[in-house]
Amino acid sequence: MIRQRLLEWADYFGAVALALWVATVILFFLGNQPRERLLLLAGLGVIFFALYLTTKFAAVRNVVTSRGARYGSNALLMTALFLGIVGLVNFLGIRYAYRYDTTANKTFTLSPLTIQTLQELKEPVNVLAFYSFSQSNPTSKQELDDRLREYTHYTDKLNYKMIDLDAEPQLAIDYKVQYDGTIIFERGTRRENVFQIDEQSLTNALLKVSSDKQPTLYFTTGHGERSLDDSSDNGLSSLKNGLELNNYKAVLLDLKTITETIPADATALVVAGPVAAFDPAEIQHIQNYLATGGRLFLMLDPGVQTGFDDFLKAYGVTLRNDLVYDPKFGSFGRPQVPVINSYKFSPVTQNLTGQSTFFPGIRSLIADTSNISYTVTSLFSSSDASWGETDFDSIKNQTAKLDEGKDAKGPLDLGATIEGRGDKAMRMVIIGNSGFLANGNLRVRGMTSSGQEVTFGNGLLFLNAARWFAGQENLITIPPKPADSHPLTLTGEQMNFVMFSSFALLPGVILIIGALVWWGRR
Amino acid sequence: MRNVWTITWRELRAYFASPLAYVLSAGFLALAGVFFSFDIYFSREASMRNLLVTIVFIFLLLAPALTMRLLAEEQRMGTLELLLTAPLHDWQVVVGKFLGSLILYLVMFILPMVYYVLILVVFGPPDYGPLATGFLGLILMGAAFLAVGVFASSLTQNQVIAAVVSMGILIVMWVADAFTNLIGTGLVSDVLNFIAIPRHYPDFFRGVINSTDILYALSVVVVSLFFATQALQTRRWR
Repeated sequence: MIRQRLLEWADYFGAVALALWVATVILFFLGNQPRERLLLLAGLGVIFFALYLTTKFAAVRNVVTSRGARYGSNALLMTALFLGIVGLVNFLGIRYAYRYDTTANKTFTLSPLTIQTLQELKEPVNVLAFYSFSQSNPTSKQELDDRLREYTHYTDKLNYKMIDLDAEPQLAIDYKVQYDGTIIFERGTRRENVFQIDEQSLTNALLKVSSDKQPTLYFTTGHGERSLDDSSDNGLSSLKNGLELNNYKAVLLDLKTITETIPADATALVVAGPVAAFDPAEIQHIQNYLATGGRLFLMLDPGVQTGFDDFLKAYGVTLRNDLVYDPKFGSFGRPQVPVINSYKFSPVTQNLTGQSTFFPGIRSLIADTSNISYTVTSLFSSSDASWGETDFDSIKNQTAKLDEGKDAKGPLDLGATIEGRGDKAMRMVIIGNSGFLANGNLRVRGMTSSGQEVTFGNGLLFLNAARWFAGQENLITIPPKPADSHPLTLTGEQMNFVMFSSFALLPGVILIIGALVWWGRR
Repeated sequence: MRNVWTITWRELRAYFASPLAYVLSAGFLALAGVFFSFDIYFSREASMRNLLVTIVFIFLLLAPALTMRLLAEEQRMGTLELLLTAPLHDWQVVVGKFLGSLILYLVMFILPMVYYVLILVVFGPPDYGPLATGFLGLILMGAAFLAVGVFASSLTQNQVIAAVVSMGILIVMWVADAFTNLIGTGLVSDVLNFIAIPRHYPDFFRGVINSTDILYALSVVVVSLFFATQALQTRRWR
């Protein structure tokens, strides 16, 4: 009797055992279960299965020794072996993959330099490509996707992701993305932004982000310049923080202590609003530095004799000794604080479109753009209603007005870049104001006409300059590939023919053949 | 080997005699024709790259229809036993039928698409490398889908079930990498990522011949036909 009862239950035991094992497997794959729980389930399964076996012992014995089981276990073994071999072959196939690019332009073959860079990557690098999927040019996005995929074939330390700006605005904000088509290379906390998709730009960004060299900006002291350690409204401590967040080191340097040259690891020198003049010896150091490909960000405030006049003239820039009054661009009715909204084309201003920058008390300059030894570019200018007030007393008395002949009339250039030519070319940015980077002004938020709160672009201007200084040499040069386009030229009529023939004619022919065959068989 | 060809030839005659192949081919070509025309119209590029992706997917859905009858019908009509008792190995039957479906695929689906190539050549010129590798990819992927279909057909007497099962398997293979971010990294997720079909044709369609992808397609064919053979063999000792 008991035997009979047990026999009935045997199947249930078996089913429970199976269920327990299936549950174990599923939970294992979900991956977040403690091992003890999994072992417990599996163990219970074993117990129930043992019960099943013992109660149905005779039946089990028959099945196991049957011909079907013998064949079946044979088949199972063969299958396992076979799958193992196939798996191994494919595994080796991935390891030792061979790829051949048949495109006419070899668009999908990377240059040996890139391949070497990729194979030498030691730490993981993430690439995030931010595109507005609805608006971007699909061909260039596709080309980038293809190219990055090629890159990932040579190393497993590179990951990339195409991100839709419209779908993930928060991510874009986190990464400070402003442009459609921004590509960010990220290694740990280091980031490098690229806006072009050719192989040279991408590989250079990769090299830069993987290098441990941190660009260092040396800020001069000893002439009453604004200080990096000063956290009052006039200081530059906020700027220093911002630079460090972007992986730049900002350090003070007293030029008077230099015996030979500016430190070799200097990415750029920054002069931030001195109130006393520089010695000729100090200026000579700077000149030597620039002659060997140095970079300089010069901010000289109005009303200060800085000793840089001759120095600047040699580079094609003349600083006027004035204070710009701009009733049209002035901020909040203060004409001495021009707000700039449009910029000339330059790497220092290229992503400032739509951003405002303001300068509390700026002197104008003359940029000799026809200079042949250096490329001098004006960055931005005041309005046509502005003038450069040279009568400093009238400024104090608040009676400043345009004095024809003495004061220069707007629009006046307010900032300029100077770039040398050839190898080891110097780069310089000169602006007639240093207050725009002071803590008090860096943190200012404004309102656009539509009532949106915005931060001004003052800090970004400096960061752009720093980037321009640091990103000087392309660490490697890779010749660009010609564009891979094979255009199709069709008239409207031809297009109609194509449509008709592929949609109706071709299938029609097949059906006719079929009909003929069918008729022939009848 | 001659045995295999006998089966293949027999299968081809059956295919060409029935309306199924013609109807499927005409339908496929009409659909492909529409996509081809629109692709050309909007891109003005002499390239089939975007089109091929769509075609691969269409064929994924068609392959079950082409293969469902291959072994299922024989089982239903009872002619399978006859075949198996003939001096034929099981694998010869399986491979023969597979080759039959493959040749049909080549003749009725791939060959007509040469017309598109002609159009591109006349109005182009196109980049010939990617076109050639694109077709190679299409052929290999198609072979893989058909092989899966043959396997599904070996499991049952019911053609509809065969079609459903093969479509199920193919769709699972298509989306195999969708859940790997739940599973994390490790062997399982690597295997799933590898099985996913959409990882193995982009290179072909771009113009890159990748040995891994070729190996993948051949593996799917070999594994599917192996399992189909196993399925037939179980009949011997049932």
